[in-house]
Amino acid sequence: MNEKKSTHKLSSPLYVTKRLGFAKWKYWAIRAGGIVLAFLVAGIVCSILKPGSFGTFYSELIRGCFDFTDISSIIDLLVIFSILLTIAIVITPAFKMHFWNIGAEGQVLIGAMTAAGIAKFCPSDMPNIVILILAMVGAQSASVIWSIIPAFFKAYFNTNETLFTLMMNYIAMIAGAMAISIWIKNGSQSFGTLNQGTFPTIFGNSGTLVFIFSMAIFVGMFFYINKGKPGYEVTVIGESIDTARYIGINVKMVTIRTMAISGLLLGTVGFFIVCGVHQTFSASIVGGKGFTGVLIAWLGHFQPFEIMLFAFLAAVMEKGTATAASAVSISASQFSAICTGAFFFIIIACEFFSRYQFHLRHKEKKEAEQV
Amino acid sequence: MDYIRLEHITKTFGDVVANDDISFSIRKGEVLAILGENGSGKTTLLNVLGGIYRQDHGQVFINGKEAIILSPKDAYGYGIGMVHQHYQLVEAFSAIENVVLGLSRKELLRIYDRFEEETPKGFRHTRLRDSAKHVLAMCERYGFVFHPEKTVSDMSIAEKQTLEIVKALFRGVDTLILDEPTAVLTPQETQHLFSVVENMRKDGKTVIIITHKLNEVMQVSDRVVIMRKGQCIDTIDTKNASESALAEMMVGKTIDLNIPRSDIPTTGERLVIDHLSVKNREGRLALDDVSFTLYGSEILGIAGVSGSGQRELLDAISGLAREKSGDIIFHNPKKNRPVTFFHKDIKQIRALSDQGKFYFKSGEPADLKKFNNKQLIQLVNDEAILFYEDEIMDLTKKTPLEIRNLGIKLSFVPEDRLGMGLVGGMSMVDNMLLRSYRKGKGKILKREKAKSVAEEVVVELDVKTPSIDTPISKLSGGNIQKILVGREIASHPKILMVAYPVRGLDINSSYTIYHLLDEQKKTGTAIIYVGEDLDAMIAITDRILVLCDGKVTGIVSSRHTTKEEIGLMMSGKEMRKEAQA
Repeated sequence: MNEKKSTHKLSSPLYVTKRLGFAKWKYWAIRAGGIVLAFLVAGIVCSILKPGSFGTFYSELIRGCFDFTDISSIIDLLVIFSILLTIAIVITPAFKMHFWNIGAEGQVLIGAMTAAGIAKFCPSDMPNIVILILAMVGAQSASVIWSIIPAFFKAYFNTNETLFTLMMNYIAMIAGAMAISIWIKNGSQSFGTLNQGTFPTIFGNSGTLVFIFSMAIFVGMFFYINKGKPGYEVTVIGESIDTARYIGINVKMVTIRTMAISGLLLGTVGFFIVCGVHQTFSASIVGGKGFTGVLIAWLGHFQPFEIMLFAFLAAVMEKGTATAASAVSISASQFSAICTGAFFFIIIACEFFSRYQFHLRHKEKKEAEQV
Repeated sequence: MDYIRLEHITKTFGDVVANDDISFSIRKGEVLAILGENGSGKTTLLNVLGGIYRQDHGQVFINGKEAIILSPKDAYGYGIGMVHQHYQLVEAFSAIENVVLGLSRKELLRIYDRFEEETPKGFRHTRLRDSAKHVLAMCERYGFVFHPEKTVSDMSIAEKQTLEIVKALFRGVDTLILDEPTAVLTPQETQHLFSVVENMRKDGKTVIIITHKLNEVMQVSDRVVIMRKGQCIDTIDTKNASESALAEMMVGKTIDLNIPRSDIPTTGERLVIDHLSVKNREGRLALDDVSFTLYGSEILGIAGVSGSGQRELLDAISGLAREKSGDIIFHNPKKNRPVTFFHKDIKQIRALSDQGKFYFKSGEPADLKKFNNKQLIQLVNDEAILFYEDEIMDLTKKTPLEIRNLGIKLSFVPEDRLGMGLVGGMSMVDNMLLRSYRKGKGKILKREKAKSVAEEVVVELDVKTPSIDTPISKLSGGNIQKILVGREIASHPKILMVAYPVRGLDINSSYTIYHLLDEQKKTGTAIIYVGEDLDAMIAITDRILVLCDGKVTGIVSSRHTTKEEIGLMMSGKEMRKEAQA
């Protein structure tokens, strides 16, 4: 029974109450409306920047994502989708535990950096598969350590994990830039393309394996979250720490374990990005997907299949708008960032309006007086 | 003439109709009781009058004119003040600071004018001590004990309640609504409150008391409004009513108000608490040198005003409290029972055998050295090796998990059901799993067993739920409590601790719980019962231990004590009558 007027805002003409008994289909209808609106806004922004491009925008958007004659292009979309999906699903257990880890960006980046370093400096007579395994294990170890640090401080000193993980993103980015300046002695500040330790190409795209492995991680995470004992413990802790203690869960240990597992898999994502997708490294190689993943996990209500849906939509938004932008020759990466931002903004707004409703106090008073 | 009239008040929350077309009137200068079970909509209805909620339909008339009450401030404007169940005080402030909080200088002066016969000329002070003078004068008139300088955090519950009432009276209310005012008071404090209520009535104030206690209705009210399931059943003069008639109207059917208590012999020491002291989470000594013994097949009541150390006592026994000294010794009832591999392996059995703990069925002492492992397993499986004595286990330094791993069946129904005992967002099945999810190898949860336990609980305790997969936070308080109690007794505990097991429950659910506890007692379980309703506690328990400020002020036999005696001990008077079980 949360419908309680906020008593401290008596003079405010507006007050907000929680919606109760809101039908599920209405909620999804609002969300669907929001998604349509987001794509509409993208088109409008595009036609403002390049007048008369409204129609072209949509045809290019669809061609960029769903051109089934070009398998490699489809795989590019699936790769964006699988990176977003993996990040979102991997950080979900920590979120379910109410451990607000917004440091996925940095945790992936540290893994990516380690993988890049290993792949670059392994002796060239090593078999590729050995280099790949070394890079993966290295990336995973680095990310696990990176992720355990905030968990440890949270468990033993009750530090604020949100600020902690956020700051560690920036440290990771600086570490990434520093690594390049140490590794690359010729002053170009560019890592260059890896010529060993890269994924084999399937269907003409080295991302195919990334997609396949990501799906395997998704299945694993689905069982971890919904069917496993660790996932169950995490849910109990998130709902009530007192209940967790009451039934004898070691909250400190579970906090650290959960972050270690998410670090392990985020490191794997970093390895995918470097060795599978881009085959190079830069301090901005994760490109904000760590942050987007946090949003997707949140909007998906920590439900694996809902997360999948939003990861896919976000991928379509990113890839489609980038294709459309370059077709009408506006700056692709910036335009795509604007559209992705607008997309999440609108969906989050939908979330708010479907949970709460507004009332006008004066109107109510007047109505009451009229009766 | 009617002073306040409520007409066709309807209030819904989502699909739940909390108040359904309720109409009644309140007369000036009367004490009106609003009687109803938990969840019958009493508080919601009076919250409409107090400005917390706005009704969906219907009107409120005060002195014949329609009143629009959209906030507690509006309610004060109509002379209506409300004392909620959860007090709205600033803990760090003194009493007098809380009284004047939120009043402007202009408002304060207007209040002074009401108190003084003639208004003095010139500048008038509104310092705290000036206000205190007025407040003290007012308190004297009604018979309140009031210390203006005392900080709220140092106050007892009764003092806090007094402060809430003073706050409302100082603001000049004519109508005071008290929501379950006696729930947290000792019998003596309750009597004092009623004498104050009587004084207020003599002074021409109208007092509305929300309650579910029949004896209080009979004692203090002039008229009574009976509510049931969001509807107003009837309004009658108290002098024409009887407790049984009121109970029937409140519940909707004839009910048996007798609480069961089986007279059976106890079955030996189960838990020995020796000089136990516990610090609470803030580091304050909450339990001070407590000693008692709990026996099998008995219910030991723990009485005391809330915050006297009850919570810490249960936390300490269950292993949740960390900072403690003294001993908590558990006697596992093993005497003359066979050794099993339940929570013991061969090594441990051999070690115990070396200490001479076992004997054979034939009666001779069991020396297991001469048997090899295979023969030993055979003997254990044949239940041929028996314990001489109960197993004695020290629980003092154990965590909840360690206690479980020792195979000790200790169940605990905590006070905060959804915050501690259960998980609101989870289904019944997953809540049943809380206790047992670790069982079985591997990392995958096995829900089948929990499912069958959940189904059993639904049938046996008559839990009303759409399905066992519904999140339990959607269920009513009574059903939630049944789920919690059901889970805790499903493991056939040796010790069962229950904290406020019937708080917030309707009468039928309360009696279900009482019967369950009595049934558990019959099976030999030792039960610790922490409660607040002394009548019920005296009726169901065998002995009562009274706590005051973390100290034991007495242990009495429930069959030979009175509410008044326990009330005195609750307020610190030591009796130290050691009743034997």
